[in-house]
Amino acid sequence: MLQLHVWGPAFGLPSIDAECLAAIAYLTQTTSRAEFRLVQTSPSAVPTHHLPALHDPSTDTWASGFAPITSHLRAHPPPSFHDASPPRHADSTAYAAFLTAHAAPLVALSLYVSSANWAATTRPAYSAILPFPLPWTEPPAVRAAMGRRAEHLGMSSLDTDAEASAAESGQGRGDIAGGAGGWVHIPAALRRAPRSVKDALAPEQAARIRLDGLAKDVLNVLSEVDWEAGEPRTTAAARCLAFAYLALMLVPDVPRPWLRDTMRAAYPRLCEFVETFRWECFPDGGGEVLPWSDGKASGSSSSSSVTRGSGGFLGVGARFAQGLIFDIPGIGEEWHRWLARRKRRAVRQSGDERQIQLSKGSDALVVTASAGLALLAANIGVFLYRAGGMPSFGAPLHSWHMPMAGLSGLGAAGALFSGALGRRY
Amino acid sequence: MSVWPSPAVPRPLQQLFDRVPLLTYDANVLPARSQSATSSRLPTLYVFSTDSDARLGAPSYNPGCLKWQTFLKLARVEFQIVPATNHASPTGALPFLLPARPSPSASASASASPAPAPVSSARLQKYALEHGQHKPAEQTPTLRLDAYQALLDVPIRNAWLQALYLEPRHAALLDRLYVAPASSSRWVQATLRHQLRRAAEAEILKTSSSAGGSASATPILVDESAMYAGARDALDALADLLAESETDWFFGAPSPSLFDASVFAYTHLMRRLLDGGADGEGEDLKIPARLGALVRAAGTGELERHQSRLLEMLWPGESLSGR
Amino acid sequence: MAASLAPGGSNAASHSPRTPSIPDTPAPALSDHLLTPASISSVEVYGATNTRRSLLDHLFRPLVENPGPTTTLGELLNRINRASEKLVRLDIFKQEGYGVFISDARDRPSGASGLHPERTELDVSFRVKEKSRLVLSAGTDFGNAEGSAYTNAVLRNVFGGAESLSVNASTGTRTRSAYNAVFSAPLNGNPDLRVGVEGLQSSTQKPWASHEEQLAGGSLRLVWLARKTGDSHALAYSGVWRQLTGLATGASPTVRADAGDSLKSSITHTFTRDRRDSPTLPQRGYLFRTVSELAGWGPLHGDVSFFKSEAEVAGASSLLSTARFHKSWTPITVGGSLRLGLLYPLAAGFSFGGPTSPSRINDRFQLGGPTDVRGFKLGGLGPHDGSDAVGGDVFAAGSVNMMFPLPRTGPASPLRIQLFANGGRLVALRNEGREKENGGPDSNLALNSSAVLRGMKSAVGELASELPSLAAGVGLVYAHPVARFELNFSLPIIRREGEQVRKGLQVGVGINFL
Repeated sequence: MLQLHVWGPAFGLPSIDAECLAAIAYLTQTTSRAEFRLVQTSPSAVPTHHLPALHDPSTDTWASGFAPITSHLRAHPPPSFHDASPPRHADSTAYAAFLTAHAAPLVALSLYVSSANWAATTRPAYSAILPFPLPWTEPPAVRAAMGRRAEHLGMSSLDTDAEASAAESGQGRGDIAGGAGGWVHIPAALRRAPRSVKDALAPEQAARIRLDGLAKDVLNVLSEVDWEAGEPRTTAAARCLAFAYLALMLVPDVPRPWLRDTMRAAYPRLCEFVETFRWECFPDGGGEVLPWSDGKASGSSSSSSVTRGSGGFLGVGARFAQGLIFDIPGIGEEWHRWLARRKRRAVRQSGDERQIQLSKGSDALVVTASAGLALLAANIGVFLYRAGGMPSFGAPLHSWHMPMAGLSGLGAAGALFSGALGRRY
Repeated sequence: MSVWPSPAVPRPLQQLFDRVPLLTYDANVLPARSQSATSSRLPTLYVFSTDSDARLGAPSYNPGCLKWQTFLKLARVEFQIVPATNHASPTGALPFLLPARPSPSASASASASPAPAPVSSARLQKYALEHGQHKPAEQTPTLRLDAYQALLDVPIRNAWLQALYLEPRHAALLDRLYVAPASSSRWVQATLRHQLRRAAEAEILKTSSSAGGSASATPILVDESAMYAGARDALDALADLLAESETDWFFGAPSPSLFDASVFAYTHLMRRLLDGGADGEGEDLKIPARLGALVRAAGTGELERHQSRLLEMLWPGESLSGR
Repeated sequence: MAASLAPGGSNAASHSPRTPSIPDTPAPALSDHLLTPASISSVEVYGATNTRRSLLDHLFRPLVENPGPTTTLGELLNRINRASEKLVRLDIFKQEGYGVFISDARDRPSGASGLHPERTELDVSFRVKEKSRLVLSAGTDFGNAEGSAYTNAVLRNVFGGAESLSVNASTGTRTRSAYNAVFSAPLNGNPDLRVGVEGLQSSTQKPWASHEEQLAGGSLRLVWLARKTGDSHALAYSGVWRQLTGLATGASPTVRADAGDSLKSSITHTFTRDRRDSPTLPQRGYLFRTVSELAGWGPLHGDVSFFKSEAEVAGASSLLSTARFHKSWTPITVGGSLRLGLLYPLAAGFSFGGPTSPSRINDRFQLGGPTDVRGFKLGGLGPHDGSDAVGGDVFAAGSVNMMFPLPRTGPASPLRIQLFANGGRLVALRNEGREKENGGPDSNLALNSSAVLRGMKSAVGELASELPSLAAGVGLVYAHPVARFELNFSLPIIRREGEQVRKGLQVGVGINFL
């Protein structure tokens, strides 16, 4: 049975992530529900370190990412697989690239960069789908990645802690209040000086206009396409991807709904497409009726051991440690790169048994290594505390003597300083 | 360091100031290195290139630079190219164009006039249309073009970055193009190489759909095979688009447009630099990073013919196996 | 015996450890003693708890081990004196609490005497207090035409061998950030011969040429101080990665062409002879300094290769001898200085005749500015491309000044009025042969050796062919111990097209003025 590992459900949609959502939609559209299972997880638990990831026990391969998953399904179709749309069309390829290039940053801006939306909607959603204590490490990393993704739009000012208070005082209606307190990297040129409450109104509206402009640049292109099923120029895969991004723009109930407002106001056809497609794929609107596997209870023998990493306490602990190590400046990234490469290589080359051992092995490795690091840090601390300073190299008294017999009774400092015999000058 | 309150210079003092200096000689001659940089009266396009290539005006080896070099040539702007690095650019990225100095007459005093403001790549299209003797075909401003532009910006660019910067088999090529020209020191080269690779990786992860950029907690790794598959699909899509056109150029334009230049910039360089030679057959993805082979295999060879056509048109006599 | 040593051995040493000297002309009664044979039976150092014995060995072992049969007491006292001076100059002991004590070993009860009854035998003991090993400081600094704030940490006597590690971080008006760490240690326990290793990283804005230069590198240096004459020699190897970046919008093509990376690997020799009575306000004496640098040639590698040499002579003298006037009169002083410099591009590698690439902007000389040729802007002299000072390969600059006391101030006052005239000439090496080939882009910059020689000859000839760019003026000088401040009113007299003059007031802060 196919296993699709995805980020968990949020906002009433089956997944919080666009590509995962698209992959779920594609599977429900093309494959019988009896032939696949959904596993709610996070990237640190799968060997490819990326979601969505499809594990196909028949070929014992992992496909990661939406496009690789769809091509894998076409190449190794499960018995009930049925995709009537053309396998490939130039326009669909182009629009898929367009969605990745331009719709994704827009979603990132709305759900991740904007402080208010992140705090009120997105972060709680992550907390709900990740086992404790992973919400401490993984969502901030996701947010940072999203911030980089939307960086070129120059709207990092949406990420501000000052905004909440401005909203309370009834002034911050929109998404911007000047502030440099954001913790997503902000290029200096885009930083604005804090301004008084009175001044805050105009740039707010300016930001609103800019945001509308950004949204329209993207949505204009997308609204030109006929996303209805049966249209020969759009493949099912492209339709699923478009749905996923548009749904994340339209569905989440966020405190700063500029993206949803723009969509509703100017693009009724896109809204209609999202709603129709949503009910078509997920009859309950969300993902409740989908074949979720609840981690440990998953039946399939060969893959259950792989998913176990995401379940047990040890597994979660290892993932948490991994997240912590990643935050160590300097070595964290390199360590992670090495670990991920190792895992992925294991997935690519090997048969089932070895792969399981390896993935288990690297989990143990993570735990051991992190424990070792902590111990080392503690040791250094204790050493520095004990030593209290630099070692000394000298002695209270250095003396040299004429290398001759008879003069050995020396070092008699007392004699020198007593003043009894040697006179003191 | 030095202060002179500009308003209110007393009159007698102003008269004194006007009288000095008592003697003014001709300007000092510029150093040898800047003589060639300032001697020409043509606008200068700063690109990644080699000294000898720049002298001949040969195509740059950087896709971003080649795109604008091609477009300026299509618009028949007269310009010279100069090899440079990103440090020379006002925006931190090449290419950019430095218009000719305004003073036309005495070459000696040419250095006296202030340097003109550089034109960054974002404004090059406007500049080319204003200063060129030929108007390249206007792109019909369809929204579809935006979608196809995304193919170049995401899957094709990412595959290019992956193949050239991160693929070990092209390490020597990367060194020759980007690392060795900067410095002969091994220490500097190693640092630059590392910086380049990290930057390329970050760029890929920022935009790539299949490499963990979207929502992975720790986007660290690039999935090469998925990326090359994405590039193959993208090139196929471009080939289909070209096949759809009634003319030789994209979107049915009577003459090449900016989009043709953009596509050419990648297809030409992929064929010239990243094709394992003529022995390749088809789309063999087992040999990684053979992007040139993907170009040749795209559609029914439309992109290959398009590339040859444009090369013949702008650089007659230039062959792929130049170096 | 012991009493006769008192003036030399004890008093001087315990009162000022910097000049513990034996009187030049001992009293007649003493001179007899000084000629008697003597030896040192023991040396003891108290309080050097963090100082390694191997370091002190260099100073004290020779005292006890090589008495020589004919050593006289006078010679021994000189030796003790020299060792004491060296100990002090290691700069690891405090002044207070320092003392040298000498006693006659024959007075000891253990009765070591009898072996050489005819000899005076001495016991020498040094009492020292070590300076604190970690010093943290922060403050402001004035370099030439730049103010900066710094924090500094010095680890003294790191490994007990008078090694010092100094870590410095600063930021300033022009230096965005600078970090450096210097580790230096005396060689063979000799405080006048030190070897040092330095690592540095900095980022400096150079608005006169529209760019920012980032440096990262290291150097290994050997410094020798000739104590008697006050001369110093420094020999250094340095490897620096320079990055010319952050160009302004209006940067000229010359600067753009040089933007990017280059590694300079060079050997530098610096000789300084400073015989002035004060570095900031000299009344008499002279300064002579030469700096010679060989970069990139032969085994040095690197991206630039040249020979660069600079010489500076400065002197001052009081116009009227103070003796003729009342003591409180401040003399009028006249001063002058001359600086010369030359940068000769070399072929890379071991060849002399190979293709030679001309100098880059960050190697060339700059001239002009309030601490330099006054009356011109910073980098105001020499070739300019647009508004950028692109520097030159050969220069000569000189100045003459007269310092008058301010009315109603004594000779100790740090204020003076100065009249000055200064001027200079900064010429670039040009490519004579290629000048006529007009047109097309010519990126092949390399010259051959004869073209370099020809260009150099004509550049040097050009220095003298015309009058130098010249400015004169009057100003107020304030000599603070940290730096010298000048407020000048100056007018340019001769300039060249493109050179940037400053008419009127100009403020200069610095240590080393032209």
